[in-house]
Amino acid sequence: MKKNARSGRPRLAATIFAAATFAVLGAAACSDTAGEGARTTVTSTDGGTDALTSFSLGTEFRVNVPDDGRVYVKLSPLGMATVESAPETSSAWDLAFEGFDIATNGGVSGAGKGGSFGPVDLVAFVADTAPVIPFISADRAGGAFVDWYMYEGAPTHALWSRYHVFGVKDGERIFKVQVLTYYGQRDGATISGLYNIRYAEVLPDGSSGTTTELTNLDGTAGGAAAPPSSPSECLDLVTGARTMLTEIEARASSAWHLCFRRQSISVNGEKGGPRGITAVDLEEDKMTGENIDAVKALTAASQKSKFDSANYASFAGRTFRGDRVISGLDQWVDRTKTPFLPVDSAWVVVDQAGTQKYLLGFAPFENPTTRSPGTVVMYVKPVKG
Amino acid sequence: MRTETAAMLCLAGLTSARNARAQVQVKARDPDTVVVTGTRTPEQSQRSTIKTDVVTRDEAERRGATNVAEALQSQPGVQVNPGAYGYLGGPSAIQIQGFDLQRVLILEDGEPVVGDVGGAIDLSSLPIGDIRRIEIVTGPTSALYGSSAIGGVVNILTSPPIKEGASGRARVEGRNRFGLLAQGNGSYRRGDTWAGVDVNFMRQDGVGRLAKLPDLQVPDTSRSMVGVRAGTSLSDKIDVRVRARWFRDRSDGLTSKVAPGVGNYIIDTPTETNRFTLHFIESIDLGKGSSLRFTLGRQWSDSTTATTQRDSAVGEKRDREHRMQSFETVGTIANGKRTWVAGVRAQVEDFSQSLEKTESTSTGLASSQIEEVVPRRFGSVAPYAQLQWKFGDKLTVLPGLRGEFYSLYGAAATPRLAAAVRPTKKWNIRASFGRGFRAPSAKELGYTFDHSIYGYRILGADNLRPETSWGANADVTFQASSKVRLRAGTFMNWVHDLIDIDIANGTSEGTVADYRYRNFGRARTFGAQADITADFHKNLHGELAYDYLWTRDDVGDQPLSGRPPHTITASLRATPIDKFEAYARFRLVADAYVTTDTRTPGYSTLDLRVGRELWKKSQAYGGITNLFDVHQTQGRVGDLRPPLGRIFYVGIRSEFPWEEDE
Repeated sequence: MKKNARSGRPRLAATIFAAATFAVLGAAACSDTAGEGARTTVTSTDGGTDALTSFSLGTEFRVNVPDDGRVYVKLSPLGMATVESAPETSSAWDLAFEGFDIATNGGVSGAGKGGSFGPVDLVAFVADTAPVIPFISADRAGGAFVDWYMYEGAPTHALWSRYHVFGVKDGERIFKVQVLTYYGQRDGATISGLYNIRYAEVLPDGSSGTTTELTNLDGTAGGAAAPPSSPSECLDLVTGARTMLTEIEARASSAWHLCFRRQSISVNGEKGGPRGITAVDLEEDKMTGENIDAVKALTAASQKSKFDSANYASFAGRTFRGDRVISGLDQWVDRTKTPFLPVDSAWVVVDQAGTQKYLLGFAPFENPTTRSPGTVVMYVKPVKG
Repeated sequence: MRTETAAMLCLAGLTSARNARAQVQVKARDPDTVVVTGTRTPEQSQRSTIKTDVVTRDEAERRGATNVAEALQSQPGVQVNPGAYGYLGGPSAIQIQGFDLQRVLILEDGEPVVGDVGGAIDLSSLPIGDIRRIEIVTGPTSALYGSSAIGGVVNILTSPPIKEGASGRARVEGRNRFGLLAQGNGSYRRGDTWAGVDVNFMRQDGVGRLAKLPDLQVPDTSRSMVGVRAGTSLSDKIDVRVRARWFRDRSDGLTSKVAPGVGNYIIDTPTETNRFTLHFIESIDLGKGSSLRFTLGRQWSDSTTATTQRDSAVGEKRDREHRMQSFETVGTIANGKRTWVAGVRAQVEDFSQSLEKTESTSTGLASSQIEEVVPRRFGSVAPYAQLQWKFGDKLTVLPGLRGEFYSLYGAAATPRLAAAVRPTKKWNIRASFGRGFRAPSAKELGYTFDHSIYGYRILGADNLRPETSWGANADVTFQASSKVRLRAGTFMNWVHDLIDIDIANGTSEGTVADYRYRNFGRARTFGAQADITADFHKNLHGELAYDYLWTRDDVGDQPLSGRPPHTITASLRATPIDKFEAYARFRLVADAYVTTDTRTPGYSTLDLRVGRELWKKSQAYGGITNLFDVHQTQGRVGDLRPPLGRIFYVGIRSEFPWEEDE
């Protein structure tokens, strides 16, 4: 009996142990799905119903945009604004409509602290707080070079040149320009903001001038920690002169064609500067078909032939422009549709005082023309944050 | 053995060795069954008023651990998330009852550890070479320990030498990836006077990220520790001890980046932390089991993290300094069935963080330095008291209260009421209800992370309040026989005023958005555990535990991120043949919510170890941790799987004198 009793306890222990094992293994088959599946998301598969449902949470406001000239809007109280003169220094407006462009009162557009970001999902209209966004952009000047690169996200965070060929027009003279890289080496380190480019003048007889390759054009603007007044390098394509200018100096100077400031390349015309220079992206229509893997496969050497083959005739019929206003609302119009349609998304806008955020959304235009959206049906919702 | 137990109480900082010997009423077979952290009084772990789990150094070594993080990573009731709060292989933070970062208090011999990384005390920086055991108390324990004891307390306890004359211990271990562990302790005791030296060194190569790149997913690491301890008796009733330790952790991360048109370049990411601790303890025996203890402490923690391009000065370096000076006195008054513990702790902390950037500009290298956390000084005074009242052998009631008075934001009071009922010798039923709190950190109060160039800043806020919680715990232990023990428990916590960066309510100043730390979070956690330990045979011991965890972020109406709901742990220890020992440990962790779109995958690990006694108190051993080679996937957000994958190790450990004096 003693022997049995001793041997019985391990068996009891083993039995309980095994039973407990099965019990907990069974329980482990469950998982914490509580709270999931109950979430509802407003999607924007087509702009119609969902968009209007979301926009109903905002205040409708109609803006009649003329074919020529600007109109101004104040967001609080919501209404049209009258700006008699000097809109660049006026605090009477928050948004300006000009053709299919929308400006905010900040950056190159005005002296205010306004800005914008978008597009964001329509579901943002449901909340009373601003959606989480990476940044708010003040309006900046930009034009033909605005999409010279393709951005590769985390973890690489690199800017890859698309190797497009750009035309830069100074009077009757046209130069072709290709950006080779945004990176260079200095002080023993590889740093961003150092451009390599190649350029040459294209002549009416179909020939091209000497191709010049420049390295380490300094667009670092003093680095990330530098104040906004730090200079960056600007280039005169005719003389080859390279000048360090601040953003404000560059806007008042005629000593350059192209100015390099961090990832932006400015053209000295319209909003960019006083010299009347205009530019065009010869391959703008290819943009939608490009993807990051294809762009990463390109090299300066492989794209040299494309640059060499561009000639005066390549730019015939192209629309050259100086820098215009680029805001966070730059993509608010779907230009692939006829007539143009507003994109089914929301935008975050900061007023000219820099203190209040608004969500904007747009219903289809009423009576659009080729030069203006006609009547813009806008929905405005103030949000916290 | 009574001497060992007394020594354990002494090391735990509760009383003098002499007094401990006098007051020991616990008939402990093993000093490691005595716990002190839950009540600040010595109790047998199975009959303690507050549930306290113990991991001894021997058990930690059986688990293949070289540091506290590894010792606890398969402990039931906790999760250790390596690298969850920094780069992979970085800080190993512990999670108890669904709380982590600064909501679990880490103590060394009862003193808070300073020098967090992103809010987490890096448990992998704490070697196990000189420790005796680790005690884990779950649930709010602020009534005794103050700030950060919301989820629980981990107390890492060292021990003074026990034997007369010279004694020592050594362990040498080799691991794959050129891993080397060397631990040694030497001490000498003559009567009541003793001194000891502890050294620890560990290094391991990092883990590569991708085959074709030099990048390291886990950096090369080396960790060193040197400690000296000494104690003596000034009179029959007064003991004094001094303890000094220096920890140095170094990791060398490496990453490569591609610069289109230029090629790849290498960025070195070294991190170095130096931590010094100095404590002076005086214990006075008041007689009849009562005592008075004074502790004077100072800690320094300096850490530097850098990101520099190889062979260049371009990069950035972040320096953090944390200092703590503390004075604590605690009296234990034994009065029959009532034991009073009352004390007061005063401490001053200094914290600063600066960032130095070196950039290449058109005029040459330019350096700039900013204070990311403006140097700050905190002061606090905290009186506390607790009564342990035994009503016979069957009921113990334990009310306690601690008040905290902070120089920056006022006062907080944290009560706790606990009770243990032992209707028979086989049953022990415990319940407690208490308040936890966490004081805002220096970073949360004074941080400036300026990314204006990218349109945002993250800022501290001076008007933060402490986080507060209420927590309830209950468990039942049934000693089915001398060989089988079953235990089940549950807990619930409600936490208010959680501090976090309030992304949803940023304020704009032009195109720059400011996001501040605010008290806006609310959360609940609920859990249950069941475990069984059994001696199947005199040479076969097994444990099986299941943990369930439910969490809810009441603001986002989602589970808290990275909290696995189900965990199963099982272990078997066998000594089938004389002088041989075999050990297996299995852990299954369920998949867990990370974000609405992401879950961290479930995984299981199996650790195996065999050892053979070479001579008395010496063993050669070898093992494999993480046999299934489960490891994190590069770039996967919130991946809670182990970073290192499978590890092989072999080693020798020995203690002397080799012959144990009975």
